[in-house]
Amino acid sequence: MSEQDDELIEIFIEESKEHLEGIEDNLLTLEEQGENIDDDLINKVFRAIHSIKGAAGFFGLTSTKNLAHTTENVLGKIRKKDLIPNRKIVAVLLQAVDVLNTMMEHPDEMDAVDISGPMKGLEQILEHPDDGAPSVNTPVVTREKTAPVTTPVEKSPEKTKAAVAPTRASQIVEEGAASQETSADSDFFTRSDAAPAVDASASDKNTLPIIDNSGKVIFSVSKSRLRAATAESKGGTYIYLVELPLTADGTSRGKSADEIIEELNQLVFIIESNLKENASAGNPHGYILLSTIMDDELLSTFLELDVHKLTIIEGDTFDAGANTRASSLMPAKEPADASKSSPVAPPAAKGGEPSNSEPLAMAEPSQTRTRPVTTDSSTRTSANAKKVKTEGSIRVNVKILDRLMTLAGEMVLTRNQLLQNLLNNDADKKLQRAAQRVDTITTELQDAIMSTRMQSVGIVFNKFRRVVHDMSRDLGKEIDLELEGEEVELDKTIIEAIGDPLTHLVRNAVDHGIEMPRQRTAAGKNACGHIRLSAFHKAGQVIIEVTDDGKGLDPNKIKDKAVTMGLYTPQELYAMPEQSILRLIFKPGFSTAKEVTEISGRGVGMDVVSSNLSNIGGVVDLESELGKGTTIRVKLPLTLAILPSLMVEVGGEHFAIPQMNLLELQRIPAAKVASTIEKLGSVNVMRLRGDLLPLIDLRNVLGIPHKQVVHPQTGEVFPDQRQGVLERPKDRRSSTATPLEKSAGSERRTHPLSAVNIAVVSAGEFNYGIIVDTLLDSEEIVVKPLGRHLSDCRSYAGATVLGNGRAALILDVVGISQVMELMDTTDAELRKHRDDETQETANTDRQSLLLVENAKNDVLAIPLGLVERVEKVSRKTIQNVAGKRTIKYRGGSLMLFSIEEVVSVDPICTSSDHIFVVVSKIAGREAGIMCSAIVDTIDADITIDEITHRSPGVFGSAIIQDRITLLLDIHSIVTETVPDWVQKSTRKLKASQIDNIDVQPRDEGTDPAVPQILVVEDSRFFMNQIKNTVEQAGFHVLTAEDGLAALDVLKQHHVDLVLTDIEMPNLDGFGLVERMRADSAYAHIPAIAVTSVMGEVAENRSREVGIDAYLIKLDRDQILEQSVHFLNHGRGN
Amino acid sequence: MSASSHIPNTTCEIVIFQVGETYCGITIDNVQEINKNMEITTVYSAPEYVRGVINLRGQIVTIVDMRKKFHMEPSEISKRMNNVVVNSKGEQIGLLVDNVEDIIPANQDEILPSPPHMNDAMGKYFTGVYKLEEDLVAILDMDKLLSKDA
Repeated sequence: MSEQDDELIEIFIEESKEHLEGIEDNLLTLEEQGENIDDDLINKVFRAIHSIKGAAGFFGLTSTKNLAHTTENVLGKIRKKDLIPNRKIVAVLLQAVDVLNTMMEHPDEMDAVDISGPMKGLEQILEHPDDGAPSVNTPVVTREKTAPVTTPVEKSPEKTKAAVAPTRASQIVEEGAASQETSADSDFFTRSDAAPAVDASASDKNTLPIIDNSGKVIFSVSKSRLRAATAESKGGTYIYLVELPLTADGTSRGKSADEIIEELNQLVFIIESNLKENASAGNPHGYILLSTIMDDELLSTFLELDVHKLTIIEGDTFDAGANTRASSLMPAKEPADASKSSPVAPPAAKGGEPSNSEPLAMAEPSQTRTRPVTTDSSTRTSANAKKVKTEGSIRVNVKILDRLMTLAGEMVLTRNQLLQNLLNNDADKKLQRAAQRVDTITTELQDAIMSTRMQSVGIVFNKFRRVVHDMSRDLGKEIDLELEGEEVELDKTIIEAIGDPLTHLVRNAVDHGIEMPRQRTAAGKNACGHIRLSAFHKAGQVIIEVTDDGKGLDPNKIKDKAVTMGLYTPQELYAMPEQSILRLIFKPGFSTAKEVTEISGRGVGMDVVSSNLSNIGGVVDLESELGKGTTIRVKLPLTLAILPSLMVEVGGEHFAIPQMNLLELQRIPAAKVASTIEKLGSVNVMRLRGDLLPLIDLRNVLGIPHKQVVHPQTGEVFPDQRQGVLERPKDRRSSTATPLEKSAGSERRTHPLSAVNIAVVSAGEFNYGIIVDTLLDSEEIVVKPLGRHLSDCRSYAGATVLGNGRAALILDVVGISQVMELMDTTDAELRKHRDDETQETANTDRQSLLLVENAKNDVLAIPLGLVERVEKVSRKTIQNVAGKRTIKYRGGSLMLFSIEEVVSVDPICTSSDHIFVVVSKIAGREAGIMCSAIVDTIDADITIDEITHRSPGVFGSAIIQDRITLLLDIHSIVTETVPDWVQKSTRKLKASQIDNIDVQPRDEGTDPAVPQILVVEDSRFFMNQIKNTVEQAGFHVLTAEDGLAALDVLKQHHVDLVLTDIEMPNLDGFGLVERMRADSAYAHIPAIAVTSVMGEVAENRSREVGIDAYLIKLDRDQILEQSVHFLNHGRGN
Repeated sequence: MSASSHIPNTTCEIVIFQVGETYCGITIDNVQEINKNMEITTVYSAPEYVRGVINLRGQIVTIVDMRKKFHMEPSEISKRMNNVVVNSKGEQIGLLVDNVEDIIPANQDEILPSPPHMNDAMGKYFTGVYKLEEDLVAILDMDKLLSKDA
């Protein structure tokens, strides 16, 4: 039998046991009702047997099915009122039920159990329904045939000794078996001496008919009632049949029957009583069946009766569990006498032959002669099996389990507090050891209680065999379903909740994932599709994956749909990473199936799956490759009551972030904050492995005031720097944004508090980062609900109690994203951001850039115009002389500069033997910038952000190929490393200055001796660059943003030199110079083109229009040199 | 619901506490306990009158700042302050009050209807007025006071 079947059988057995449990009583009640049977009751019994029959048939358990089937037939007749459930019929039915019970106790040999006994009885009933008069004799046939066969207890060879043997339990059984041979087995309490062969309804082992010596039934009590009686408050282990001598007028010692009962009721539990006169040879008496804690001596004293008037009814006859106690009592009471006495006689039968031991001796036969029809391997195992049943599993109210869970939760908290206090105090060793034990025990207790609610995921998985089987048949597909990790356990609540979402995912895989066999073969795949459902543990969570090897999701179709639905524009989708596009299927109303099929098109989309799972703390993600297949991954918590969480701290308060939602933690060092976090409109974003991750500051979400923070070590109080990190000027292109940012940045670097801690979380559809003050430990917390006044706070999922006894709030990651309208805002901002970029293209310069890599995957850009050459050199050839690295190069030596020494980037990747050297001419000398790889050269319209990332060695940043890329300032890298380099060049420049121009800085515009240079540039970045360069050299600068504006400036100011960009709106550089040359007033003014566009065509054209020099924008040395040259010499030559 | 439903008998006990300068009272059968557990965890983004939550033997109890509820200036936690924990619709809620004055037996007949003009921030929660020797005690309507909309 396969494992799955095993599990199903287990369920079947559990269910069957439940069905059978109540049947005994029900059948007995039916018997009582006789003709006026309760329809509901018979239906209930019928259904129970019917379910067993159905399930047994399903598993191919023929005998079980046959027995249940025949039983059902009889019950059917009773239901139709064709049969009246008389004693005999019920007895047979009970026998059948017993055999079924035996079967359920032995699932491994279920079908091997002998069913001939009850079958015969049942068939007889069906064949001769009218022959069903209550008769204790009829079933005997059955019993006699079956009992010897199926009672394999070794027969004692010493039959005669049996009666005198000491009443040890083990021997009792043997003796019983032996006496079976000599005297007829009976369930009845009979006088064995008087009527050894009196037979009983042996098959009826659930009712104990209690008869007197004449064989007359005094009481007929169900065993369960007897069992119950022992549990009654006034009842006890002992059950006695009391013979009460009555006077002729029905009283005893002057008390009426009612009075006697009332008196007895004070002390014992009365099961049955019959105080109507039983005239027996002039000895009128009544019987009372009672349960008490009193032993026979005590009871006889109390009743003022001879002890022989009491007959103990041995516990084992109705309750295997009572066996030990009952038997252990017996040796205490003259066991030897036992042999002499009649084993099953009510005392009256003795006819005034008092014997103390009688009631005790009673125990033996009754104990041994039960279960005449056990089809079990042994009577004893049967008894044991019953015992096991009571110990093995009990049904517990879920409320009690919940209560236990809560208490365990409390225990965990108290344990935490205890441990924390112990850590704080120097508790003595003994106390610490005790605490350790409490710790261990608590953990085990918690696990044990949790495990009561755990169910294996196989329960859900197995039903998919059928689902896949049926669906693939209907669709004409061939699909092989693989199940994995069915043994993985989850909380009952979660198991119940994942059924529907998983069904949807599986149906989707079958319907939309797996192709038709023809298509599969055409695509070179196995015609038979494969779907794998697997569950496994990972990081304290359970992951369920639904994987198919079907056609996969087509990102283009998703894009089309997204456009059709008006969710995004094609441009937006173009810029979206593929993963994000795939995730769009979780958007409401999104379904990519071309046509809604009957099978999965039920108006339920993936969005419902996603939201259903998030209700129980689950998170869905997916992977898909077109043509290869799709994997949908569901992350689930193990349980809902105890939540593994990351504790974080913001503004002095602790918060819990459920581990479930947590993806990773990022700590951005202060130095990197500026380069990692940027602002798009109102949203802070962070580049994380190529993705834009929206960031939220928990302070802003919750409205926590930005407090001063106390340094954890020094106790100093700082204003919180983090505020500054994310509170950059709204418009990053604004000219008011000054290098102040830079100074703020350097200040941040000075103390450790300024690093930014980010918990990257998943809100299902998308991920985002939560900025917190401090990341603390992981803790297992107990979820507690919040009161009604806080139910509207969507940021919280609940609260918990910390180890220190304080309450702390649990963050609701999905709720927060909704509160912040994060998705929408981000979308909108990203959209706007893109629009801005598009719009700005007109204002941007086309840049030729060399993209290089320093650390792995860390791409940096160098203006191509400044690059002379790129050389690949072996690391071995690098010489390190006096802290300066050089290589031999073209007969001389080339000094090497490393980027990370100036710019705060990760160090150069050292995995290769070679490095690349970007050779650039700085101040007339060649310098080599080291990098690990050359990525690309690009010509792109880019907007350079000169504020955000401005730092030594960096001009600024730009988004290049969807990544924030730093634009390196080679000049600055060189001069920062070797300050001499620059001074030399400056000196050189000064030396070359012309006599009539004083380049020392002066108040602007006041000294005509200071040459005025007009810088014409539309890019603010380059304008600043050039302006700074020229101003620092001591010239006075005028600016204009395009050619037309420049002409205006020329009209109003004296200009000695024009530095102009070529590509500008309104009037470009060529146009400007053309007009200048055409106007006699300006024709003499030297004009230098500074551009980033390289190319002969442009250079030729510039000469044509009368441009005197053609330079690269960022080559400040050249710009100065040429400027000085032309100021000295004029356009002349 | 009026306060009379809380005061089925003619005599009852009233817990008197101070919120700012105002003496307020609630019948004792509303009160579960009075404590000085000031380990209040602020719940940011909660309604303004919610001071925070406390852990009351494993239960998370919302603490309503009575000063805020009455539109008074909130005050710093002081030693005299108390949480009057009440049972309201099956939930325990703590009322943060400035000071618990007394618990007095009162005759229901002596609780007078509150003056009709009292409909301001405080007055709307009053159902009656009880006269002490020197002061007037405003009897609060728990349901109104702790309803979510108020």
